[in-house]
Amino acid sequence: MRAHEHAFTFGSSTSTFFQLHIVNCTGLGEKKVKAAVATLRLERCKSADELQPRRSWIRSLPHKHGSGMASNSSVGGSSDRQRIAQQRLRIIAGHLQGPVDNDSTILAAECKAQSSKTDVSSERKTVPRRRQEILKWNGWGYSDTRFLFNKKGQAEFTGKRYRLSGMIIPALQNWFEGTFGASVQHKSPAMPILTSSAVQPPTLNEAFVDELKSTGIPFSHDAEDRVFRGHGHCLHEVFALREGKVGRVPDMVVWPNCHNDVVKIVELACKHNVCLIPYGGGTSVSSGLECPPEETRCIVSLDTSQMNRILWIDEKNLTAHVEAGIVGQELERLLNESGYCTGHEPDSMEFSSLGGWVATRASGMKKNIYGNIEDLVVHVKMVTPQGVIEKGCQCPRMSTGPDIHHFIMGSEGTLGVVTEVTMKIRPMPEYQKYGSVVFPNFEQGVACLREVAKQRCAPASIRLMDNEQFKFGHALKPQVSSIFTSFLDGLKKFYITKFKGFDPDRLCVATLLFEGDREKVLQHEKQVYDIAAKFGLMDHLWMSSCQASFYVKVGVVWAVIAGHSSPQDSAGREDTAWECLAAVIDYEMDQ
Amino acid sequence: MAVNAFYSHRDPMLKKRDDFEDMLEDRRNSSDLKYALRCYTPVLYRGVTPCTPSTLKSTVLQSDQLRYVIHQVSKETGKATDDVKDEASAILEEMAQCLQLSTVRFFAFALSKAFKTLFRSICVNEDGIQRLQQAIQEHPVVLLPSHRSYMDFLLMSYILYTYDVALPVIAAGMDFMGMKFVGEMLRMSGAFFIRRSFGGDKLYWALFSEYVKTMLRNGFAPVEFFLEGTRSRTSKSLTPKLGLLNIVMDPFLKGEVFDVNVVPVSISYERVLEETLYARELLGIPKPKESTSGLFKARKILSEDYGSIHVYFGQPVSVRSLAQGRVNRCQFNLLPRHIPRRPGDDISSFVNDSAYRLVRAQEENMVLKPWVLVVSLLLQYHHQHQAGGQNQGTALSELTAHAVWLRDLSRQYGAFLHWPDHDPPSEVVSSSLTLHRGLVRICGDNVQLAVEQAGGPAGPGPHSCPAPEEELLSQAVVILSCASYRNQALHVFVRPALLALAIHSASSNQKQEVFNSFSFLRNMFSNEFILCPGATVQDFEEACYLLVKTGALQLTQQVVLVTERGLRTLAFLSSMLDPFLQGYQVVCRFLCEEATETLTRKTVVPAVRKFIKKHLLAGRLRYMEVLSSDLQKNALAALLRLGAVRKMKGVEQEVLKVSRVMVSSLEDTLGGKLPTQKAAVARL
Repeated sequence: MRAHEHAFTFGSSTSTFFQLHIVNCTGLGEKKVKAAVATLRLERCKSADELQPRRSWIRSLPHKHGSGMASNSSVGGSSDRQRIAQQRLRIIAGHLQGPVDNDSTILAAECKAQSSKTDVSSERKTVPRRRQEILKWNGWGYSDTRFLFNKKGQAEFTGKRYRLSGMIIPALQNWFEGTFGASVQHKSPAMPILTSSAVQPPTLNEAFVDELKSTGIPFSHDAEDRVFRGHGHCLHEVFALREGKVGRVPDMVVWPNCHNDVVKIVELACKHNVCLIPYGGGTSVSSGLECPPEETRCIVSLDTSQMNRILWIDEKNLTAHVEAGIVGQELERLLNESGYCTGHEPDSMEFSSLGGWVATRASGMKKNIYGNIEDLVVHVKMVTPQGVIEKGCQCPRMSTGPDIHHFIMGSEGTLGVVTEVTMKIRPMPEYQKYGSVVFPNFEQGVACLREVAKQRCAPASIRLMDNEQFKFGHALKPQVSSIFTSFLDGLKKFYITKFKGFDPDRLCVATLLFEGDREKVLQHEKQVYDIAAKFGLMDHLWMSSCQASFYVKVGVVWAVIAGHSSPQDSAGREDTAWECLAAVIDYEMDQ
Repeated sequence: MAVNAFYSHRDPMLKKRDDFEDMLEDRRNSSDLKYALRCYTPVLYRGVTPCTPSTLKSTVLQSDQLRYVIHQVSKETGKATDDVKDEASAILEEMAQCLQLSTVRFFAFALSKAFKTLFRSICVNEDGIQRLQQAIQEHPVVLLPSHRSYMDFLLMSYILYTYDVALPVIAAGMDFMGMKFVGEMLRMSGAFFIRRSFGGDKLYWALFSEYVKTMLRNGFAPVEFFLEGTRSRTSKSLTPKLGLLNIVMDPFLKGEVFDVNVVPVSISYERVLEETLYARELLGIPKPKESTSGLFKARKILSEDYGSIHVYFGQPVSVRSLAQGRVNRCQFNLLPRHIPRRPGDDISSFVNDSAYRLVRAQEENMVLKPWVLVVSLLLQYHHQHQAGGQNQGTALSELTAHAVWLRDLSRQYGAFLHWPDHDPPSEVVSSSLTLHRGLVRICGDNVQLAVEQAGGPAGPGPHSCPAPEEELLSQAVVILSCASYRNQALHVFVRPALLALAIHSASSNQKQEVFNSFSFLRNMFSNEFILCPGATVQDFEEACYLLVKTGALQLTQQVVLVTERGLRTLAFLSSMLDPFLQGYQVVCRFLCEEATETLTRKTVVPAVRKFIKKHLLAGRLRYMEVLSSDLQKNALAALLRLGAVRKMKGVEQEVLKVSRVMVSSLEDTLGGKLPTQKAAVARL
């Protein structure tokens, strides 16, 4: 999700090598298929890696990769694992046969902004207190949505939430095996359910609990609730859960309903010497939710999910005042109802919360237009042990003194609980257009993006995919239904590889997203394509706008999968990837 | 500057007040017509945005506030925005004033004629007018007159017209609008009409508050309203209503204007036009609906003498300095101004405190006539004689001597007494007796209240042999009328009187004991009198200071001692509050003995009245004043506040649930049967 702010900067080298760990899944683990399908990890020490300055997600993968099989997961026989992996990939491959009718429309189609993702968000109004009812307790996303190899051995995506759900992705298995040397026979089953014996009994602070009871704020010390809030989505955290290893988890969970509840809770915590860990969407990849194992005091997880209202919208100043527990998709949906949007689209926006964005200094895909969270936030209310801290005004900046927002943002919940945020909003863009450019090789792509950067004409989003990622995107295509489309695909392939002479193992693609009013978008688009023409191949003949949008999202997925978009994102995001992917494909179908 | 004067009720003796001028004198000596048609060029607010009443209306309708609320309402009710808008403009049409100078001139003429026949003089402090004029130029101004009579706002506009001050727009109750023709006349003289209650109606509230604020912000005209919300039937100041005060402070709090000046105005009548009307209302005879024909019928009052009126324009109070250090206005930056919001606790308490202070400022500048002191004495004699069984009245000379004593006492307490010092006291007393001859009877040298006459001065109709209950009522009319005059002086005596009662009921003369007792009584009566919330200690100190100063009390670190000569003062003071004490006790007893499960707010007052009548007829109660529904309602409100009575959701409406234990313990404490501390525990 950080990727976009550095859309034009490039990783220090294009020759970073990865060792690929392919962890397989058993039948039980199927719910975790996505966790397992493609877990790519940097060979380098993770923690050291995380300390590195942000690197771009744009980097090329090595042509040669490490040994395919994970050697460290010892569960399950290797033949079993191989079989299952194969089965899964077959299911995934089946998806490629899905009805992709739009393929026939080769000329760029216009995508209206409104259609994006609304059906996803309307399904779930709020995050329930018992998150495990709809979300996976040991992985990313909804529990009804996962990848598996069906009985026919095809890769399949389950659930009903996304358009991809229930579809077959035929090419996935081959890509999987071919690229990583993975095997569907190799199994590593995850812990199916949480056994309460694995969780330490809570250390409760009786006085705190008693006083909390009198406030009427709901709380729980149920083992499932506690474990759910004991981790973020770092790779190692999810893996530990899959293995059934539960370390120190919070002793209690509280669900404040408003700012004043938080004030009360923080006061009580100070009074009784209790630790608080604020919990928003739980998508943290910075170990911000990890409980220190040596902590002997009672740890209370403060779940902000019930604080999810938009308190007001100021249409004159274009700001919205929102409770910090609202999750991204919900915020966007509610704002869209009034004709507004924030434009902040971190990859995790389906689950991550506003308060979390502030606390982790989030960045969104479309930051070129809308800015990162620090540009979007106008006012923050934070409850600290010393009292509530907030600015005394709602103006975006003042020419005085240090800006307190700058230590609130990125504080990861160490300084206080963000309870309410005033954010800039914008009218929903009148016009959105996706596009893409094909380059013969990565270097050409880099040169083109450098030129765009130089001319300061970056569109809302611009991403360069390397060849690996490009191939990956191809592998994710659901089944093509008509002969005509598959014929066209063949034709396109022929045009690019034979007619233009691009090497399929070297070419790469830049995806673009333009937003704004129609006139300007078209003008802007022309400017960018004029630059691109000097370096690569324009997309029109090659890819429809909707397909381009698909690739934009694939970029997101890839960034997450590859785990090298930013320190925060660096690990364990394969689940996101698949979920995003699902949304993407869903999106493509919409068009 | 203004504030310093406002805060200084420490030593009432030091108060410096302006002199009065009689404005009717001019009227008597020159042509009314010429006066009505004279050139009127008021000084306006220097930042005024000139606009007509109709542009004002459209400004309000197009304001962000209104648009926001209209949008909200249409979203909530599902009505189309345009429909809600139409509704809004209809409400505004009904509400808005349309000040026209021609109507004002007509009123100026007509009122001159009326005032000259009704009143001996209308005295105004011209210095106050000067200050007001200055204030109007500087900042938006809010006028807060006291409210004792329908006359009040006509009188205000009349005075301001006379002195060439900008005419105010006046918040008036909707009931006036019901009067044919007159309602429209009032509207054209600057009144705007508001519903008495509109609790849940968002749209109405938004329109109303935005309308008032727009006029204030633009400096269109001074805004005038009555802090007490309604006319006080008892001549005591009523506990302030905060709604409008909240609204007028809002532009300052939100930083839309630099400051708002609030000017308390005290209007004191020597004899209120509605005198007996109020007494009957308090006894449960319903108030006649405001109507033009009623007004016409009431013209017979024109033939009577109503003495003089004193109007005192107080020091303008700057809201800015009131809020200094009390309100953090930052909070208003954090919400877009057009979004209505409930005031926070700090704002509510600030507005509440300010309201009490402003009412006290009104009270302090109320002019007391000698009659007020005379009638206080007469009432006490009446009750003493009644208890003693004989009823010959009091000798005029004795009355005069006592009146002089009371005059000096009240002056020491800081009363704004208008006692003609150059006349001999006996003449002063007898002239005030003559003015109120309907209420007193003078037989030879003896004076007594006119309670023996069946039917009283304005009897309920001819009847030969009045039933005991009717006789009781007609007596009560006289007593209540007298009591309402006595009430005019209550604000002067209430704090020392509470202390006197406290000393009387405290179990020992330990200062702490007395203070506990004081604070219990003060708490009990805080719906009855104007006692600033949270100022118990200050009030106690003030009361001690006054009693010590007049030599009635000696105070050491620990003990409170009553001096020999203080006995008389204390006796007078405590018997001033005795009727209230008995009233509260009897309400408590009613609740203990006769409260049923189906008691509601509406049924409780008639039931209490019936209960009291029964006891009065049986001779078990001493004070007829307890029949006053105002007192009963206040007692009930106090019990509700203290939690002895609770409102519960009933089948159809709210039911009152009585906690008998608490009520009876409160009753006992009031009667001095229980030490206060226990009662305090019982309340918890």
